[in-house]
Amino acid sequence: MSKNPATDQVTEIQRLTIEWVAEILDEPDVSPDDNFLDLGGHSVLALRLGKYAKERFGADYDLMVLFEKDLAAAAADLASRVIRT
Amino acid sequence: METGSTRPPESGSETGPEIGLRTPPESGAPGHEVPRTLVEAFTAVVAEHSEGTALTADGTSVSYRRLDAWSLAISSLLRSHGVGRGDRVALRMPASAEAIASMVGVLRTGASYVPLEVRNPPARNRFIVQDSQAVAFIGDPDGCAVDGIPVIGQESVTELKGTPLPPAGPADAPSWLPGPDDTAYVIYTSGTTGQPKGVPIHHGAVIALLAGAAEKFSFSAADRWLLFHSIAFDFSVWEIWGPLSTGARLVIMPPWTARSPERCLRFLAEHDITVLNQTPTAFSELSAAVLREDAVLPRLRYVIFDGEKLLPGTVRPWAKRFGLNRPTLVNMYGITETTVHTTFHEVTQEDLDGDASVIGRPLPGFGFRVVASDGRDAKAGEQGELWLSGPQLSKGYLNRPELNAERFVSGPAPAPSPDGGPVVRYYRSGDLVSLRPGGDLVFHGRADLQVKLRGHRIELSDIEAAVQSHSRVADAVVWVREFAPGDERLVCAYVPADDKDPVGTRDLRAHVKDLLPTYMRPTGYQPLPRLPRTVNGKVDRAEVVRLWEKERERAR
Repeated sequence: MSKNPATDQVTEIQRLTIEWVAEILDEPDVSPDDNFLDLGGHSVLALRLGKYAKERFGADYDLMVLFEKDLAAAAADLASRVIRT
Repeated sequence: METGSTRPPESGSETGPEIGLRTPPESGAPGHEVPRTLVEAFTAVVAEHSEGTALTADGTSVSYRRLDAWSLAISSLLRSHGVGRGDRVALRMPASAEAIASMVGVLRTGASYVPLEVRNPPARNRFIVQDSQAVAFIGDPDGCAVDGIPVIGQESVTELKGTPLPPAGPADAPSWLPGPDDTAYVIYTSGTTGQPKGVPIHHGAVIALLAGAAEKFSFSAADRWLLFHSIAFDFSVWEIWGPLSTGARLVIMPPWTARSPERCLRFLAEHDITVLNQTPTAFSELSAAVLREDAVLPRLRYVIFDGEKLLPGTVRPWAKRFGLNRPTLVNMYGITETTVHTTFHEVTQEDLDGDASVIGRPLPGFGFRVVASDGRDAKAGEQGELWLSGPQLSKGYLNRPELNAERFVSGPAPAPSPDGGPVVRYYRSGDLVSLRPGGDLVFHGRADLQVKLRGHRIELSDIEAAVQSHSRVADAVVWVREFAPGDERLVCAYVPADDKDPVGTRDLRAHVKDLLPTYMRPTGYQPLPRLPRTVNGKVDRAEVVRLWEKERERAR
């Protein structure tokens, strides 16, 4: 389907970010334009989310982006570091 | 158990100088003394309104003269069982003419009544019977009576209704009569934890309530009051003695009617009720039914709120339709320990434009302080615990010395006599209020609804108020849920205003985002069709949590 493996990985990170946040927050209704804190996330939960990312991609979310921007931005930021690595 | 001579003196000397009772207009007739007890208030009304209707129940009316004779017969029966001044009598009956006659009968022996909630589990009622050391039991014990005390069934009370009417004139022997410092009733309240605690309220306290209210309301003998609440809830004390001390009519609603807002609405209309008392939770259901059915209640003069925090959103739809004058909406913040109602506030348009729960000013007779967490008097606008002093204070919980020391405390007399004034006895309400520059109090919530979450001190009721301020939310409850050890988060159960087009999580999140800092935003929202209530009509927070968990489990 996709021609670009990098694009595939971005999509994958986007998808997993939403999935993990939904799981960690026990909240089915999560979308890419939600903010982690608005959903009720807090620092302890952010650490848990970071652990998932590290195990899977070897890199962690930037907490600043995660807390200040939406989940799409947090995922894109993570992807930019994962793909560069 | 008898004889006045062995009883403590009945004068008000124990509480110092005469406690500033005001004269209700009804009792101001020449030659009449200002009543000091409920028995005196009742007999004064009987003298003035003997042929008037005292109460209506199950389609039957009872005149004041009849209730007088009936209650005297009950008091004679009780005295034949040894009941006398200073004793306590357990009363377990659904709201009925018999229940009211029994209360008056008990008071006429000089004893106090201890109402038991019919729907309580027997173990809880048995605890109350034991703790209060009741010497007699009226009604159906249903497994909660204590061995060895006489039981008078409801049928026996009914039979006494036919007692021949006595000749006019004073019928109570003075030695049986209670004094203003004698207990009139003991109502058990449950704290958030632990055993129920008995709150004894003396005659003088109820008289102070009625006298204070008489200055703020314009009640008359033409009024018809509804007994909406269980006799075990102290809101009923007001519902019963409001009419019985003014010659008005008490209309008793069948207990099952209260459960359906539609039936309740029809009952109000059929019986031309003029004075209605409601918890905000019950009122929002009634109000929704009234608006849905496009009904009118032209006779209604007052709707009086107590028992829970009243938020402007609860009355907005009603006020939009009916305005604020007919009926007048009155918010009365109250506490069992300070005799039903503590403050008086007529709801204004300005209240409806805001979000605060304005409770107004303490009733005449009260003194108060708003005490900040460091013990000084709070500044205007600053939240603090409300401390109350005055004739409506209970003399203290039954059998709970530690709790009495904690809740009933001494302190400097409130302003306007700032320093050098005498030390007075206060009841620490445990409720957070703030004082507006104009003198009105604003209610914020229970001090024990304050939680600490990740270092932040959070007032749960502030979050609830934020969610409730959404126009499509009828009600909301917020609490801290432990998702895992160390992972505590705020969650919210809410009732959508429109069940056909319920507001969703996404809208609510966006709404509170503009109102609350991050650490105060709930993580999970769960709509519920309605909030479960306790038998007293208050939101049952424990049951809300249980429903929330159930719904969540189901959604998984």
